[in-house]
Amino acid sequence: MKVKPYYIAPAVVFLAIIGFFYVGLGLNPKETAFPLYGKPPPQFDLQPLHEDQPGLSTADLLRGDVVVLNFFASWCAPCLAEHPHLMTLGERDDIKLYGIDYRDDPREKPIAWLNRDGNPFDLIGVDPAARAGMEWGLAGVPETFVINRQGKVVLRIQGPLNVPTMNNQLLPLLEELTQ
Amino acid sequence: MTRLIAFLLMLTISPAFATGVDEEVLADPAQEAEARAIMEDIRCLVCQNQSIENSNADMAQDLRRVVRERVLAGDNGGEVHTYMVARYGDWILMRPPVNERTWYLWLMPVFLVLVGLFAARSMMRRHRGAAPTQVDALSADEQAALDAILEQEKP
Repeated sequence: MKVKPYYIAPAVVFLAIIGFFYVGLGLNPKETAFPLYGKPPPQFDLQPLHEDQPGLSTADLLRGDVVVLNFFASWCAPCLAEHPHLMTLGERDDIKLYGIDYRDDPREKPIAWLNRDGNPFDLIGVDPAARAGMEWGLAGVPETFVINRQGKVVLRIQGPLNVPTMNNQLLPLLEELTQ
Repeated sequence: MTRLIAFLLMLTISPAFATGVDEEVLADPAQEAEARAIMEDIRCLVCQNQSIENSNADMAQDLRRVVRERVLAGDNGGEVHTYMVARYGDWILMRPPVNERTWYLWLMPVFLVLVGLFAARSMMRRHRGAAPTQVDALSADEQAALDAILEQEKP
């Protein structure tokens, strides 16, 4: 039998399909798009969690600091899991760590939680109706954003902070941004 | 007979059409219908392959509230979609839009049909082009042998 070049076409097509599957199935379907990347943070203005403290609004993110913004809730178990990492970040003086209490129960619960496990945040706003979350394109809690000194959103981490995301994404970026 | 009745009853089963339940809906039925139609094309973030129109997840409720607000404020479907895409990306739409990242996805079926037609055409051409097999005339010896066989076969 004479072998013609196009006889290998099915094999090539098959390998191409395998290639697409390999890449496509490796993606995390829970990770959603990040249209905010490189853009200024969206407009929001939130009431404070602690009534004797100031709230949180877009202006707080635009004061020339490197800002880490964390969405959390007291009902959210992964938020509890990432809390030690936030405590570590809260000790740093070269960044601001802000929190948004997302769709949470009455204030007593998140306040009690922060009293028990520590409050790493410089400012905390409450987002009971998820309006701020929507402006940020939030797909759940926890999510963490980084805003650079120029007031642009440069990182989004969906899901809890953990050792790999801290060491591979967040800490190297903060290192770069705070220089 | 019982089986037949059971079978006929089975055919009458209709699928349950799930819809999200909201306490507050728009007062104007026309606007509410428009909002519902827009919701059908917006993906629920936490239930992935459901629209917010038929999901009861908290996040779907939040998005439905926003859709109603936008409709009440006079936005049309396209404007609500633009608002959603600006925050969540194209993914939020149940029907991916045709743009520079998705055009090949949309054109793929057309392309595959064209490839199929081309393959079919070249195959048919090859078959038509092939001349019927030429049979050489029998030599005198062969003819004699054939005659002999035919003679034998005669009853």
